[in-house]
Amino acid sequence: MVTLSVCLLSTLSRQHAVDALARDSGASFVAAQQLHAELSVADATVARAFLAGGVEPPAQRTAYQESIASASGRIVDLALAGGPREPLSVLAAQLPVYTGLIERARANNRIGNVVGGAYLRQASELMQTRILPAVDRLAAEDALDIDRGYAQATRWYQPVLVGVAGAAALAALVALQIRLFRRTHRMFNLRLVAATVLVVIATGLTLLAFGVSRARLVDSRNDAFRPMTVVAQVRVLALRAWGDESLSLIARGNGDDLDADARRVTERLGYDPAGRPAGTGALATAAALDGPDAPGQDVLVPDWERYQDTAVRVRDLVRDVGGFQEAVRVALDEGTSTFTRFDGDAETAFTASRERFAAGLSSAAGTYDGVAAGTGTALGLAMLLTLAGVQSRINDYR
Amino acid sequence: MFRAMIFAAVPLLGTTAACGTVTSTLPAAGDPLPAAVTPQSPLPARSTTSPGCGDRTASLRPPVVLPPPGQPDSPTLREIVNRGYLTVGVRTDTPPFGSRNPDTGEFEGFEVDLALLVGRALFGAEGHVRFRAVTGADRVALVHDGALDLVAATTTITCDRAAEVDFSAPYYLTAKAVLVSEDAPYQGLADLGGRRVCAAAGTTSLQQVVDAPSRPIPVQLASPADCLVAMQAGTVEAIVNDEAILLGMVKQDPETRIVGVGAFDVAVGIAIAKDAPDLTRFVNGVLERADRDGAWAAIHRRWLDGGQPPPPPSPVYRD
Repeated sequence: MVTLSVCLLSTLSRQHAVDALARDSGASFVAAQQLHAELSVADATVARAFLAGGVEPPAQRTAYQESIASASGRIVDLALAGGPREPLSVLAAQLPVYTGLIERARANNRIGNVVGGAYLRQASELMQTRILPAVDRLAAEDALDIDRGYAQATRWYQPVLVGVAGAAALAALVALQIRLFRRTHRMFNLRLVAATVLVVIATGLTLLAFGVSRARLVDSRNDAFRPMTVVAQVRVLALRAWGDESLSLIARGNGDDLDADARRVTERLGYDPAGRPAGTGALATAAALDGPDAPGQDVLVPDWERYQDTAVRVRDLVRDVGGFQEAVRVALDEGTSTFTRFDGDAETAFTASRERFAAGLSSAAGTYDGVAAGTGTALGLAMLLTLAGVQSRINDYR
Repeated sequence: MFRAMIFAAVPLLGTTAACGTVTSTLPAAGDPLPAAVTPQSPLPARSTTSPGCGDRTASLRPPVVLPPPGQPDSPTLREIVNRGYLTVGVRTDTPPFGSRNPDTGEFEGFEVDLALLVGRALFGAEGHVRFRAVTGADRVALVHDGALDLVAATTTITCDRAAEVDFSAPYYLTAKAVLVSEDAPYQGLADLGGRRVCAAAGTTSLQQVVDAPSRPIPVQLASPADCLVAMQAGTVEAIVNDEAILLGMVKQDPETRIVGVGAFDVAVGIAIAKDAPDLTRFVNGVLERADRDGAWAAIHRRWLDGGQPPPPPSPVYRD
């Protein structure tokens, strides 16, 4: 009886934890990361479009609109999934304010009003200081849930309890058979032997399922969850540096705070202001990851360096007299194309890890398919067989 | 019995080796990088009666004849010509004086043309002026520290500023004024007691809001354009600035009007470092010549209204 309930309860609790991980916190963490990337794309793209002049390039306008549309959809999804109220309500309230500021910036820019630049600055500040931190809080909460889910799905004492309970049931059955053997001098009671075998199978099956599921969880953490978070962070940092570059060019020499922010971001990525790698930082961490998606992560380093070369050139050109137009040309031309390539590859790497993470979690959850039913039936049957076996021996003496 | 125990032990041992609780904390490289916080500078204190500094618009007398282009005759001018360019600070968002053209990204305006005039007189050719944007808060310091040769950024000549940098002779006379919504009942700062009134940080306009006897609530933002954004959003009721700059704002937002125009005695000058008196004299020479040959009037016509320009402010020299 006790063995039955221990096995069943442990299995069900783990199954529930893994399911919740796969369905809720894992999915919502991924959604928060995607939301962060989409909002960063929107903000950086719109700044770059302003750099191009009064009439924005259609491709960038489309990219901005698509990013905002999918970000809005994702906020709805996160709310439907029961995400935390505070950051989500900040997002729901501030994103329309942001897009409103952008539209005003755009309208003013189009008719040549310089106040458009002030609207753009204010919108970007709103994005960086209120909207994105709310997304970060959302992701942080999901990350805690994921950590908790992992712990719940792999409690160390559950396999120990199952093992002890299984061993106790086995010991009891064996002791019973020895006693019966001594009393009755009959070698085998087939029902009791069958019950013993069933207990062994059920306990072994449960422990096996625990072990396999745990191994899959560990794999999905090492091969998918960690790379995914690092790549997501690399992408967001890069988008921020790219946005800073545009805003700084728009500020025409008055962008010291933007340049300082770009330096901070580049440092975090692992490069000094002159573009030399420091050997540490997010990008170096991403490249150092090995795992099934390593090739996709490795390519980010040369991708980023190609873009960074143009960024350094732009900064040098801006310092020259009359170099501004050339700097803008380089930024809009090579700067945009190299960055777009980096961003595309970063998105691909993120998607690969994201899919692996989802697949890993659902396969870890799949381990438990039928385990509860199987062990329940086996142990119930074993119980009945034991009773029947003992009863038949008692009947012998009637 | 023995066999059964081994049977039970094998899966047990197999799993206990791998049954530690798994954690999945975020890797440090995935931590978000919070946005930088820009510290807000404190509001200026109310003005105390200052001893004054005589005629603050009195500048250094220009040479009788300007040195021919490309042939500087004094240390600062020689340094600039050897460097190959003149560095000038202008504003990005105060049309018609200085602004960044949204289409080209280039600077344009009254003050930009004045700076180009100085550059042409110095080098004898175009393309030797390097502009950078400045704000009300940093413009005087940039000249003082030698980061820029000139700052032409609607800088009112005041005794406090004249103690830090030299000023050219005034190139424009304006008046302080107040911008309010078209339908607002206010006629000037006197009606705005207890209301939120915006001015750019580091400007005499902000000082005026702080000093106003009606006690409006001063709101300082980085630039005049930010003030216009705030007024369009309804978070401030009025903006104080030079009348000519407010005219530039009315052009961008016809739903506003200018009230409370003060006396046209606010002199605007080019700020130049105190250790470059030869540059100040040269700039004054260029301004005098621009007055004589009509260049000043042409720039005035180009950027301000286009009608018959008034005579430029007459220079006073202190030698």
